[in-house]
Amino acid sequence: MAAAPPFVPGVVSPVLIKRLRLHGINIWKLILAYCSTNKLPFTIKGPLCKKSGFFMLNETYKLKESIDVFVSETESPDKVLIIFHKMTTRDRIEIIAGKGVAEFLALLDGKTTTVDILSKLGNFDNDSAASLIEFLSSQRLIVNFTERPPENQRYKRQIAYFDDLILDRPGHSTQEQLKSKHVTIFGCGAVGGSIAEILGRAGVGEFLLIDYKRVAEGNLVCDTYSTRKDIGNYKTDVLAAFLNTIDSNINISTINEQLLPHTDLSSWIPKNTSLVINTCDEPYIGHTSLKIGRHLHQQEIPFYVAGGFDAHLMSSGELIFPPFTPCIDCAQKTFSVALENWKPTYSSIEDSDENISFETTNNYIAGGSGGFVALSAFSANLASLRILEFISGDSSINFNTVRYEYLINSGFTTEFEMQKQENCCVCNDKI
Amino acid sequence: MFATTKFRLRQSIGIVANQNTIEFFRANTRTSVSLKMKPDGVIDFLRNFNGKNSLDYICQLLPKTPPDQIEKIALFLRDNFVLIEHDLDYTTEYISYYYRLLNLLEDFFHRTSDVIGALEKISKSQVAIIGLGAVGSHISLYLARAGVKKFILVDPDKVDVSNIHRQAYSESNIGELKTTCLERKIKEISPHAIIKKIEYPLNKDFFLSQEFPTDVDLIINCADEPSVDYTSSIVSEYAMSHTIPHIVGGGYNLHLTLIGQTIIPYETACYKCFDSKLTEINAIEFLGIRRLDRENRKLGSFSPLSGIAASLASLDAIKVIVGANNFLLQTNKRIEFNSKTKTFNAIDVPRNPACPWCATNRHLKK
Repeated sequence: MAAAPPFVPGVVSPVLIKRLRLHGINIWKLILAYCSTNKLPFTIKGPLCKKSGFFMLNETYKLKESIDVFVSETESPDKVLIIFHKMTTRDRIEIIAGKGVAEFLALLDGKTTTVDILSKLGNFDNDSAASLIEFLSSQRLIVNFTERPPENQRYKRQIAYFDDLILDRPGHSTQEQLKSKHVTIFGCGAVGGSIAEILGRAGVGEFLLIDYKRVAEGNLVCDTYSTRKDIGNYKTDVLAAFLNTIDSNINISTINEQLLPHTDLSSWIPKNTSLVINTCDEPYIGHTSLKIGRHLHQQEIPFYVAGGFDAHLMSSGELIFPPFTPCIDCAQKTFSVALENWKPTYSSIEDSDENISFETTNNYIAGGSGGFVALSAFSANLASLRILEFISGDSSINFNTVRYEYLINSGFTTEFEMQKQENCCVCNDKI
Repeated sequence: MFATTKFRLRQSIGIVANQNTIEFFRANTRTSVSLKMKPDGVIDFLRNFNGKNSLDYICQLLPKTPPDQIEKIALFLRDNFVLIEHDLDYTTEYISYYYRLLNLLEDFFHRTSDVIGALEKISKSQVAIIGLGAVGSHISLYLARAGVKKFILVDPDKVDVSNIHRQAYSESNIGELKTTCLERKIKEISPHAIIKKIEYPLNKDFFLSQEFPTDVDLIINCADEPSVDYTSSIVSEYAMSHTIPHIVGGGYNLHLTLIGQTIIPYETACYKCFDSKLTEINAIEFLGIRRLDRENRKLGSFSPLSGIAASLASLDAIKVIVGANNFLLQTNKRIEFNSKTKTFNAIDVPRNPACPWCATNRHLKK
């Protein structure tokens, strides 16, 4: 550009842009050329761009790997239907756009600047290109390659997933957030251990593990972490060592004590824990959850009651975080109300006077609860899906409190939704 | 039915007495069966079935009830998984290591001898796992924990730092062959495991060039490079020609939420049946639609999703190995997990009567 540019660096108004266009001047090229030679920042007013500095048209964008783009004809000859399909989350976004848009998308390769793409395409309207880019960015269908931080090798695939899942912030920021989380786990059995493994692999930085038991032979079939050499050692210690083989930077503390009705939980659970997970199903998950849940309610600490316990080997568990969800009392009351007229009797044959022959030192009950690592891992994965959704701070999270259960011999999933109870004094003073 | 037959009331059965019916709730499988009978005294009656009392002895204890009626009820309850016929005791080793699994297996069988037979099948079976990534690495360890002792592990890759967030490897494994790492991990669980390692990519000449054993009970394909369609068509073709049950692992790169299908050759829909059904569905769905072409894509991945695929494939794998084919969940179905609603959507894919692979070759192959 030989002549001095016909505008004042600083603010470019839409009126000026219109006037320049009437003169057939490619204003974007003009502005960019001028600003880059003079190293000037500038702002453009109007709906096109809210960012300052170098305008988005001089940047490189890439259509995200996980987005499938389908193009279909419409009734109007110059418009097409463009379908963006997020392969990871299976979300779908549809827009109706001019035919050139599809070609434009195909050229977003992360190498060519937008302005070069536009000049290659010829008759593409710059304004609509800018608003298209803004739209695609807000939906996280494209990523800005110019601004992109160095790739995190360890978590790059997960960061790419977070990019699709959580629209609040870029995936790498979500990944950093996980690092700062502290998770407390009651019970290091099959489900607790597997949840710890999944969260540890995902990048959660700190754990408190609570269990008083030692690894027994019979645990190996359900656990994901114990091996033969661990038999006889504290589960907490074995799990902690296992987590540190996955990531030596995870900070872990342990408590090898049994949770009892009089346990003082304030001396166990740190106030800054991000989430407490209960997998203690002895004597019964309901009782331990009530004790822990009431304490956490006072402290306003989120709580996850895990599934996968006896007779519910493939259930999800649920997040308890009042006032967003019902409190632990309400959640449990939903069950007792629903099952009011349904009282099964379980006949335990081991207390009959003539005991069956195969009684052993472990808590084997003939024909009792089954189990196998794939089932506990299933529960743990279902729980972790919800837990990661929650602790990664997805603002679009749905707080419906539903317990899902997969039926092992039919493949159906049942859903049970927990509700706030009308007369709950705990919940009502918070609602 | 012999008078000496012993039955045991399954401990996982919850009994609900209604007015004129008794509901037996099978807590492990979360299903019920109801029986029209007067609820009075039923629980006491059933407690006689303790695994020690013979049918004859129970009839003697209850002189007022006609023996044929007791036998009829006992058989009905056995066939409906309320009672189990206790015809063989479990060994101490099984009880100490596998009591959870024993109880799980009891839900597939009517007799304790069948349960023991199932455990023996598990420990003698040989399973091939092709592709040791997010799905295959976990499946290998899950099956080892269930007692599988003979493995063929196939993967040419070394552990990379980017694998650890979802695959069953540790930091110290980085740079090591995946096969070697898993062999060591399996032996930590099952010291006498026999593992054949193949570090060769799954391509057209894989089965010809490798000494791939033919006495394989199950092949699980979790290899997704260059695509799962490519690897599955090769694995399936081989498996069909040797009548080997196989599972397509699901949860792979371009299809994270897919739960793989289980194929029992010439009994359930085969790879080709699935292929033609999906081509048909896609033809309708993509009518007048073109897909933007892109290459070398590496998608995001998330361990809970591949973990769900791995756990469900392992559950079907155990059912295949023990011969509980009636309870398989991933045959004749294409299942997809919806991570938002946490539910599974399934499309029925029945056997194609005109299938070029499995319709005509049945007798020829067998």
